[in-house]
Amino acid sequence: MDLDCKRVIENLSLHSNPDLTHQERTELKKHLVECQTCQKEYEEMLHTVAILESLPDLDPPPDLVARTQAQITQEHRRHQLAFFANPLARILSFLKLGPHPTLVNCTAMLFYLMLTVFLVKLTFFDATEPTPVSTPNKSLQPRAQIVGVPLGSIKATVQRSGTEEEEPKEVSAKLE
Amino acid sequence: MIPDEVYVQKTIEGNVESFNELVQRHHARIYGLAYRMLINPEDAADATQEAFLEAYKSIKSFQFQSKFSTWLYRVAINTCQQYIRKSDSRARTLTAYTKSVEENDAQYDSDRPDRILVKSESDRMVQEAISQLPPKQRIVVSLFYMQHLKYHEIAEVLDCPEGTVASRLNAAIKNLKSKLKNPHHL
Repeated sequence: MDLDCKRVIENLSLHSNPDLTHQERTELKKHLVECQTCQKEYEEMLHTVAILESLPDLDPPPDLVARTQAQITQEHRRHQLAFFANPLARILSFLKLGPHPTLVNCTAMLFYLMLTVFLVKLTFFDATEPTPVSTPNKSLQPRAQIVGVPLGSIKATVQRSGTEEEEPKEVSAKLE
Repeated sequence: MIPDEVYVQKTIEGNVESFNELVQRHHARIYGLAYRMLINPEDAADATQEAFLEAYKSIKSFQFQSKFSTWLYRVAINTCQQYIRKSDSRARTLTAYTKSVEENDAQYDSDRPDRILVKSESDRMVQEAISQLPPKQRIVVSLFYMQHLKYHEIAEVLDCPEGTVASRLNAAIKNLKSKLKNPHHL
Protein backbone atom coordinates (compact mmCIF):
# COMPACT_ATOMS: atom_id res chain seq x y z
CA MET A 1 0.00 0.00 0.00
CA ASP A 2 1.65 3.23 -1.09
CA LEU A 3 1.36 6.61 0.58
CA ASP A 4 -1.46 7.67 -1.72
CA CYS A 5 -3.52 4.64 -0.73
CA LYS A 6 -2.95 5.29 2.99
CA ARG A 7 -4.10 8.86 2.53
CA VAL A 8 -7.12 7.77 0.57
CA ILE A 9 -8.13 5.25 3.19
CA GLU A 10 -7.66 7.83 5.90
CA ASN A 11 -9.76 10.46 4.19
CA LEU A 12 -11.98 8.38 2.06
CA SER A 13 -15.40 8.00 2.05
CA LEU A 14 -18.83 7.98 3.20
CA HIS A 15 -18.17 10.20 6.11
CA SER A 16 -15.93 12.49 4.17
CA ASN A 17 -13.65 14.87 5.90
CA PRO A 18 -15.36 18.30 5.62
CA ASP A 19 -11.97 19.99 5.55
CA LEU A 20 -11.11 18.46 2.17
CA THR A 21 -11.16 20.80 -0.81
CA HIS A 22 -13.12 20.07 -3.94
CA GLN A 23 -9.90 19.28 -5.79
CA GLU A 24 -8.79 16.82 -3.12
CA ARG A 25 -12.10 15.05 -3.33
CA THR A 26 -11.87 14.74 -7.09
CA GLU A 27 -8.36 13.29 -6.73
CA LEU A 28 -9.58 10.77 -4.17
CA LYS A 29 -12.40 9.66 -6.43
CA LYS A 30 -10.02 9.32 -9.33
CA HIS A 31 -7.66 7.23 -7.20
CA LEU A 32 -10.54 5.04 -6.15
CA VAL A 33 -11.38 4.20 -9.73
CA GLU A 34 -7.77 3.36 -10.55
CA CYS A 35 -6.70 1.49 -7.40
CA GLN A 36 -8.11 -2.00 -6.84
CA THR A 37 -7.01 -2.13 -3.18
CA CYS A 38 -8.74 1.11 -2.24
CA GLN A 39 -11.79 0.12 -4.26
CA LYS A 40 -12.03 -3.11 -2.28
CA GLU A 41 -11.62 -1.20 0.95
CA TYR A 42 -14.36 1.19 -0.10
CA GLU A 43 -16.74 -1.64 -0.99
CA GLU A 44 -16.15 -3.26 2.38
CA MET A 45 -17.00 0.00 4.04
CA LEU A 46 -20.19 0.23 2.02
CA HIS A 47 -21.03 -3.30 3.06
CA THR A 48 -20.49 -2.46 6.75
CA VAL A 49 -22.71 0.57 6.43
CA ALA A 50 -25.38 -1.50 4.69
CA ILE A 51 -25.31 -3.95 7.60
CA LEU A 52 -25.68 -1.09 10.09
CA GLU A 53 -28.58 0.38 8.17
CA SER A 54 -30.31 -2.98 8.01
CA LEU A 55 -30.42 -3.38 11.78
CA PRO A 56 -34.06 -3.60 12.83
CA ASP A 57 -35.75 -0.81 14.76
CA LEU A 58 -36.21 -1.84 18.32
CA ASP A 59 -39.62 -2.00 19.86
CA PRO A 60 -39.63 -0.63 23.40
CA PRO A 61 -41.40 -2.69 26.07
CA PRO A 62 -45.16 -2.11 25.82
CA ASP A 63 -45.45 -0.79 29.37
CA LEU A 64 -42.50 1.60 29.13
CA VAL A 65 -44.60 4.69 28.42
CA ALA A 66 -47.06 3.95 31.23
CA ARG A 67 -44.24 3.28 33.70
CA THR A 68 -42.39 6.44 32.75
CA GLN A 69 -45.51 8.59 32.86
CA ALA A 70 -46.45 7.18 36.29
CA GLN A 71 -42.98 8.00 37.57
CA ILE A 72 -43.18 11.55 36.19
CA THR A 73 -46.63 12.09 37.73
CA GLN A 74 -45.35 10.81 41.08
CA GLU A 75 -42.40 13.19 40.89
CA HIS A 76 -44.76 16.04 40.03
CA ARG A 77 -46.93 15.26 43.08
CA ARG A 78 -43.92 14.96 45.34
CA HIS A 79 -42.83 18.36 44.10
CA GLN A 80 -46.23 19.83 44.95
CA LEU A 81 -46.04 18.68 48.55
CA ALA A 82 -45.07 21.15 51.23
CA PHE A 83 -41.93 20.12 53.09
CA PHE A 84 -43.85 19.46 56.29
CA ALA A 85 -46.26 17.12 54.49
CA ASN A 86 -43.52 14.76 53.31
CA PRO A 87 -43.61 12.36 56.28
CA LEU A 88 -47.38 11.98 55.90
CA ALA A 89 -47.02 11.45 52.14
CA ARG A 90 -44.44 8.73 52.78
CA ILE A 91 -46.79 6.94 55.14
CA LEU A 92 -49.62 7.21 52.61
CA SER A 93 -47.42 5.97 49.82
CA PHE A 94 -46.32 3.05 52.01
CA LEU A 95 -50.00 2.23 52.44
CA LYS A 96 -50.36 2.45 48.64
CA LEU A 97 -52.59 5.49 48.91
CA GLY A 98 -52.13 8.47 46.66
CA PRO A 99 -54.47 11.30 47.58
CA HIS A 100 -54.14 14.69 45.91
CA PRO A 101 -51.16 16.71 47.20
CA THR A 102 -53.43 19.57 48.30
CA LEU A 103 -55.35 17.18 50.53
CA VAL A 104 -52.12 15.82 52.01
CA ASN A 105 -50.83 19.36 52.59
CA CYS A 106 -54.07 20.41 54.32
CA THR A 107 -54.17 17.27 56.48
CA ALA A 108 -50.58 17.73 57.51
CA MET A 109 -51.20 21.38 58.31
CA LEU A 110 -54.24 20.49 60.41
CA PHE A 111 -52.26 17.83 62.23
CA TYR A 112 -49.42 20.22 63.04
CA LEU A 113 -51.92 22.87 64.15
CA MET A 114 -53.62 20.49 66.55
CA LEU A 115 -50.28 19.32 67.85
CA THR A 116 -49.21 22.92 68.45
CA VAL A 117 -52.44 23.75 70.30
CA PHE A 118 -52.05 20.67 72.46
CA LEU A 119 -48.44 21.47 73.32
CA VAL A 120 -49.20 25.11 74.06
CA LYS A 121 -52.05 24.12 76.33
CA LEU A 122 -49.92 21.55 78.07
CA THR A 123 -47.06 23.98 78.59
CA PHE A 124 -48.83 27.18 79.65
CA PHE A 125 -52.41 26.66 80.69
CA ASP A 126 -52.35 23.41 82.66
CA ALA A 127 -49.73 24.75 85.11
CA THR A 128 -51.85 27.77 86.24
CA GLU A 129 -54.84 25.74 87.37
CA PRO A 130 -55.08 25.43 91.21
CA THR A 131 -54.01 22.12 92.43
CA PRO A 132 -56.85 20.37 94.20
CA VAL A 133 -56.40 20.52 97.98
CA SER A 134 -57.71 17.61 99.96
CA THR A 135 -60.20 18.53 102.70
CA PRO A 136 -58.61 18.02 106.05
CA ASN A 137 -59.91 15.13 108.07
CA LYS A 138 -61.97 16.43 110.87
CA SER A 139 -60.98 13.63 113.18
CA LEU A 140 -57.41 14.83 112.91
CA GLN A 141 -58.24 18.42 113.87
CA PRO A 142 -57.08 19.36 117.32
CA ARG A 143 -59.91 19.48 119.80
CA ALA A 144 -60.96 22.77 121.23
CA GLN A 145 -58.98 23.58 124.26
CA ILE A 146 -61.06 23.43 127.42
CA VAL A 147 -60.52 26.48 129.38
CA GLY A 148 -61.96 27.30 132.75
CA VAL A 149 -64.25 30.27 132.42
CA PRO A 150 -65.95 32.13 135.29
CA LEU A 151 -69.71 31.51 135.43
CA GLY A 152 -70.61 35.18 135.09
CA SER A 153 -68.95 35.48 131.75
CA ILE A 154 -71.06 32.62 130.35
CA LYS A 155 -74.23 34.34 131.40
CA ALA A 156 -73.07 37.49 129.79
CA THR A 157 -72.38 35.62 126.58
CA VAL A 158 -75.88 34.08 126.61
CA GLN A 159 -77.50 37.42 127.18
CA ARG A 160 -75.66 38.95 124.31
CA SER A 161 -76.09 36.11 121.86
CA GLY A 162 -78.22 38.32 119.54
CA THR A 163 -75.59 41.07 119.41
CA GLU A 164 -72.43 39.29 118.57
CA GLU A 165 -71.03 42.30 116.78
CA GLU A 166 -70.26 44.09 119.96
CA GLU A 167 -66.76 44.31 121.07
CA PRO A 168 -65.58 41.75 123.54
CA LYS A 169 -64.16 44.63 125.52
CA GLU A 170 -67.63 45.75 126.59
CA VAL A 171 -68.55 42.27 127.74
CA SER A 172 -65.56 42.05 129.93
CA ALA A 173 -66.30 45.53 131.28
CA LYS A 174 -69.85 44.56 132.40
CA LEU A 175 -68.65 41.45 134.04
CA GLU A 176 -66.38 43.48 136.10
CA MET B 1 -48.86 18.84 14.96
CA ILE B 2 -48.11 20.89 18.04
CA PRO B 3 -44.36 21.56 18.37
CA ASP B 4 -42.48 20.04 21.30
CA GLU B 5 -41.54 23.47 22.58
CA VAL B 6 -45.19 24.31 23.32
CA TYR B 7 -45.42 21.25 25.56
CA VAL B 8 -42.12 22.19 27.19
CA GLN B 9 -43.46 25.65 28.00
CA LYS B 10 -46.63 24.16 29.51
CA THR B 11 -44.52 21.73 31.55
CA ILE B 12 -42.49 24.61 32.93
CA GLU B 13 -45.77 26.28 33.90
CA GLY B 14 -46.68 23.19 35.94
CA ASN B 15 -48.70 21.04 33.56
CA VAL B 16 -47.40 17.50 34.00
CA GLU B 17 -49.68 16.10 31.28
CA SER B 18 -47.74 18.07 28.69
CA PHE B 19 -44.54 16.34 29.67
CA ASN B 20 -46.28 12.99 29.50
CA GLU B 21 -47.16 13.84 25.91
CA LEU B 22 -43.47 14.39 25.23
CA VAL B 23 -42.73 11.00 26.79
CA GLN B 24 -45.26 9.45 24.42
CA ARG B 25 -43.61 11.14 21.43
CA HIS B 26 -39.97 10.43 22.15
CA HIS B 27 -39.79 7.25 24.19
CA ALA B 28 -39.10 4.93 21.24
CA ARG B 29 -36.14 6.97 20.02
CA ILE B 30 -34.64 7.32 23.47
CA TYR B 31 -35.12 3.62 24.11
CA GLY B 32 -33.45 2.82 20.76
CA LEU B 33 -30.47 5.01 21.63
CA ALA B 34 -30.23 3.56 25.15
CA TYR B 35 -30.42 0.03 23.79
CA ARG B 36 -27.59 0.61 21.31
CA MET B 37 -25.48 2.16 24.03
CA LEU B 38 -26.19 -0.27 26.86
CA ILE B 39 -26.93 -3.36 24.78
CA ASN B 40 -29.30 -4.74 27.32
CA PRO B 41 -33.08 -4.34 27.07
CA GLU B 42 -33.68 -4.07 30.81
CA ASP B 43 -30.96 -1.49 31.33
CA ALA B 44 -32.20 0.39 28.26
CA ALA B 45 -35.74 0.56 29.66
CA ASP B 46 -34.46 1.70 33.07
CA ALA B 47 -32.16 4.27 31.48
CA THR B 48 -35.02 5.58 29.33
CA GLN B 49 -37.18 6.06 32.42
CA GLU B 50 -34.33 7.72 34.26
CA ALA B 51 -33.52 9.99 31.33
CA PHE B 52 -37.10 11.25 31.14
CA LEU B 53 -37.20 11.78 34.89
CA GLU B 54 -33.95 13.71 34.73
CA ALA B 55 -35.29 15.75 31.82
CA TYR B 56 -38.45 16.54 33.78
CA LYS B 57 -36.50 17.63 36.84
CA SER B 58 -34.25 19.91 34.83
CA ILE B 59 -36.78 21.11 32.27
CA LYS B 60 -36.37 24.69 33.49
CA SER B 61 -32.78 24.63 32.27
CA PHE B 62 -33.98 24.15 28.67
CA GLN B 63 -33.15 27.42 26.94
CA PHE B 64 -35.31 27.06 23.78
CA GLN B 65 -32.16 27.66 21.71
CA SER B 66 -32.03 24.13 20.32
CA LYS B 67 -34.68 21.57 19.50
CA PHE B 68 -36.16 19.76 22.48
CA SER B 69 -35.22 16.40 20.93
CA THR B 70 -31.57 17.48 20.74
CA TRP B 71 -31.60 18.48 24.39
CA LEU B 72 -33.36 15.23 25.32
CA TYR B 73 -30.75 13.16 23.44
CA ARG B 74 -28.06 14.93 25.42
CA VAL B 75 -29.78 14.10 28.71
CA ALA B 76 -30.25 10.49 27.60
CA ILE B 77 -26.61 10.12 26.55
CA ASN B 78 -25.44 11.44 29.92
CA THR B 79 -27.74 9.00 31.70
CA CYS B 80 -26.50 6.08 29.58
CA GLN B 81 -22.88 7.05 30.15
CA GLN B 82 -23.50 6.95 33.89
CA TYR B 83 -25.02 3.49 33.41
CA ILE B 84 -22.03 2.32 31.39
CA ARG B 85 -19.70 3.52 34.09
CA LYS B 86 -21.45 1.89 36.98
CA SER B 87 -23.15 -1.17 35.57
CA ASP B 88 -21.79 -4.53 34.64
CA SER B 89 -24.25 -4.88 31.79
CA ARG B 90 -21.58 -6.10 29.40
CA ALA B 91 -21.57 -9.41 31.17
CA ARG B 92 -25.30 -9.76 30.67
CA THR B 93 -25.26 -8.42 27.13
CA LEU B 94 -25.11 -11.47 24.94
CA THR B 95 -27.75 -13.59 26.51
CA ALA B 96 -30.20 -10.73 26.80
CA TYR B 97 -29.59 -9.45 23.29
CA THR B 98 -29.87 -12.84 21.64
CA LYS B 99 -33.09 -13.48 23.51
CA SER B 100 -34.64 -10.14 22.53
CA VAL B 101 -33.60 -10.42 18.87
CA GLU B 102 -35.07 -13.87 18.66
CA GLU B 103 -38.29 -12.60 20.20
CA ASN B 104 -38.42 -9.69 17.75
CA ASP B 105 -37.68 -11.84 14.75
CA ALA B 106 -40.17 -14.42 15.81
CA GLN B 107 -42.85 -11.76 15.58
CA TYR B 108 -41.97 -10.66 12.05
CA ASP B 109 -40.68 -13.85 10.50
CA SER B 110 -42.97 -16.41 11.97
CA ASP B 111 -43.68 -17.71 8.48
CA ARG B 112 -39.99 -18.06 7.62
CA PRO B 113 -38.30 -20.15 10.32
CA ASP B 114 -35.13 -20.47 8.26
CA ARG B 115 -34.64 -16.68 8.32
CA ILE B 116 -34.88 -16.42 12.07
CA LEU B 117 -31.65 -18.17 12.79
CA VAL B 118 -29.62 -16.47 10.05
CA LYS B 119 -30.89 -12.95 10.73
CA SER B 120 -30.65 -13.12 14.48
CA GLU B 121 -27.13 -14.52 14.25
CA SER B 122 -26.09 -11.73 11.91
CA ASP B 123 -27.74 -9.07 14.08
CA ARG B 124 -26.11 -10.52 17.14
CA MET B 125 -22.69 -10.25 15.54
CA VAL B 126 -23.26 -6.67 14.45
CA GLN B 127 -24.59 -5.71 17.83
CA GLU B 128 -21.65 -7.33 19.53
CA ALA B 129 -19.26 -5.51 17.22
CA ILE B 130 -20.99 -2.21 18.07
CA SER B 131 -20.78 -3.01 21.77
CA GLN B 132 -17.01 -3.30 21.47
CA LEU B 133 -16.59 0.15 19.99
CA PRO B 134 -15.29 2.92 22.24
CA PRO B 135 -18.30 4.74 23.78
CA LYS B 136 -17.83 7.94 21.74
CA GLN B 137 -17.86 5.99 18.48
CA ARG B 138 -20.80 3.91 19.64
CA ILE B 139 -22.80 7.08 20.30
CA VAL B 140 -22.18 8.60 16.86
CA VAL B 141 -22.95 5.30 15.12
CA SER B 142 -26.21 5.06 17.00
CA LEU B 143 -27.19 8.68 16.37
CA PHE B 144 -26.27 8.58 12.68
CA TYR B 145 -27.40 5.13 11.57
CA MET B 146 -30.16 4.27 14.00
CA GLN B 147 -31.56 7.66 14.94
CA HIS B 148 -30.91 9.15 11.48
CA LEU B 149 -29.60 12.47 12.81
CA LYS B 150 -27.64 14.80 10.54
CA TYR B 151 -24.01 15.72 11.20
CA HIS B 152 -24.86 19.16 12.52
CA GLU B 153 -27.51 17.71 14.84
CA ILE B 154 -25.07 15.14 16.23
CA ALA B 155 -22.49 17.91 16.65
CA GLU B 156 -25.07 19.90 18.62
CA VAL B 157 -26.00 16.94 20.80
CA LEU B 158 -22.38 16.12 21.56
CA ASP B 159 -21.28 19.74 21.65
CA CYS B 160 -18.37 19.14 19.27
CA PRO B 161 -17.42 20.23 15.71
CA GLU B 162 -18.93 18.44 12.73
CA GLY B 163 -15.44 17.33 11.71
CA THR B 164 -15.14 15.42 14.95
CA VAL B 165 -18.42 13.67 14.24
CA ALA B 166 -17.18 12.69 10.77
CA SER B 167 -13.86 11.41 12.03
CA ARG B 168 -15.52 9.38 14.80
CA LEU B 169 -17.87 7.86 12.27
CA ASN B 170 -14.97 6.98 9.97
CA ALA B 171 -13.09 5.40 12.82
CA ALA B 172 -16.20 3.48 13.92
CA ILE B 173 -16.81 2.14 10.41
CA LYS B 174 -13.20 1.02 10.14
CA ASN B 175 -13.38 -0.71 13.50
CA LEU B 176 -16.66 -2.39 12.65
CA LYS B 177 -15.38 -3.46 9.27
CA SER B 178 -12.39 -5.21 10.76
CA LYS B 179 -14.48 -6.80 13.52
CA LEU B 180 -17.11 -8.08 11.12
CA LYS B 181 -14.41 -9.28 8.75
CA ASN B 182 -12.87 -11.34 11.55
CA PRO B 183 -15.85 -12.46 13.57
CA HIS B 184 -13.74 -14.75 15.75
CA HIS B 185 -12.30 -11.57 17.33
CA LEU B 186 -15.73 -10.71 18.66
